[in-house]
Amino acid sequence: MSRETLSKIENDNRTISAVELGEICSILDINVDKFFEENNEDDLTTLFRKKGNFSKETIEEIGELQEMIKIFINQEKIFRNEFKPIMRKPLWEEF
Amino acid sequence: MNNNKLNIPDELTRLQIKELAEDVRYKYSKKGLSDIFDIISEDAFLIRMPLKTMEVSGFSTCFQDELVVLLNSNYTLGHERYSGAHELYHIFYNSDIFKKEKLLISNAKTDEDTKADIFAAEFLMPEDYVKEVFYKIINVKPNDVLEKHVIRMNNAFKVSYKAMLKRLLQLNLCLEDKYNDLVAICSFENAEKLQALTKKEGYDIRLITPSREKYIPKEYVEYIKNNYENNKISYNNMKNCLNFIGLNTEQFEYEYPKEEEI
Repeated sequence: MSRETLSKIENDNRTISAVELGEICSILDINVDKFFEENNEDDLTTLFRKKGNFSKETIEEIGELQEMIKIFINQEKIFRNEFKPIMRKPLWEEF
Repeated sequence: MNNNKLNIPDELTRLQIKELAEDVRYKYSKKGLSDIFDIISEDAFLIRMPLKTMEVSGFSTCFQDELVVLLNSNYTLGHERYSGAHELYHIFYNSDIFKKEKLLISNAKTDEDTKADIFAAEFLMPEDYVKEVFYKIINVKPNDVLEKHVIRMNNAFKVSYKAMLKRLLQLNLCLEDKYNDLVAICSFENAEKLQALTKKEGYDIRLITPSREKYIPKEYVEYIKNNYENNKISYNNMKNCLNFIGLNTEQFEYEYPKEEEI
C-alpha cells in the first residue's frame, strides 16, 4: 500500500477494503477486531441495552437523545473556549 | 424491605429514608429552592423531554463528567415530579453506583430504586405536613376518604392522584379497603373521569396530564445564542439545538445566512 493511499484512508477520503485492513493489522500486529471496538464506556444505548429489555425503538430514541445531550454539553465548552474536538491520530501513533 | 402487595415499606426503613429526605430538603430550602425541577437543575443538567417511548419515565447518568437527569414529560406532570424526586435520591445517595454502572433508570426495580421511591414520597409529601393539611382541609375518618378528598390533597402537594392515595394509606389516613376502591379512578380507562372530577373540585388538570415540556437549563440557551453570535457554531447547529428544545430561530430574530456554507 502506498503512503498516499494510507494517507487518504486516514483522512476519510477513501474507504478501506477488507484485504487492506488485514494487511495493516498484520503489519501492526493487532487483531482486526481492534478497529471495530467502540468507545462504549459512556455510550447510553449500550448502558440501556445492559440494563433491561428495552425495545429497538427506545434504544434508537435514546441514541438520538444522547447525540443532543453531547451537543448541548459541548455548547457550554465552546462558550468557555474549552471545547477540544478529538482529532484522530495517525495509525502508527494510535497503536 | 416491604411485606405487602402495595409495596408499602416497613416503618423502620421509611423513617430512615425520611431523615435523608429531610436533610436534602433542608439543604435546598436554605437556597430558597422548593420546586423539584429547580432543585435537580441546581446539581445536574436537567432535561425534560416528551419521549416517544413510554418504557422510560426518567434516568440519571454521568456524561462527559456531567451529571445528567432526563425526565420523560410524556408522563403526567405528577408522575414526572415523582420521577424527579426519585432521581434526586440517586444523585445524592448512589454516587458509588453511578461510578460503577453510569446509568440509573427510574423504571428499574433494584433495592436502591425502592429506596428512591420511598425517598420521593417523603420528599414531596412530608409526613407532618400531609397530616396537617389532611386534618385542615379533609378531616374525615380513614374509612370515609373519598375521591374528591384525594384530589384536594394531590393538588396541595403537586403529585399524582395515585401517589397521594398511597401516601394516605401509608400514613394510616386511609384504610386499605378504601384504597382499593379509590385507586380505580386512576386507571387509564378512567382518565377522563378523574379529569372531570378534578375540574369539578376547582383545580386544573396539569398534574394528571402530560406537560410535554421541552426544557433544558436556560443558561444553555444563552450558550447556544452566544456561540452563534460569536461565530463559534454554524447557523444549522444553532437552529438544530433550538428546535430540539421547542424554540426557533425567528424568536431570536436570527436569519438564514446567505453566505454561510451549510
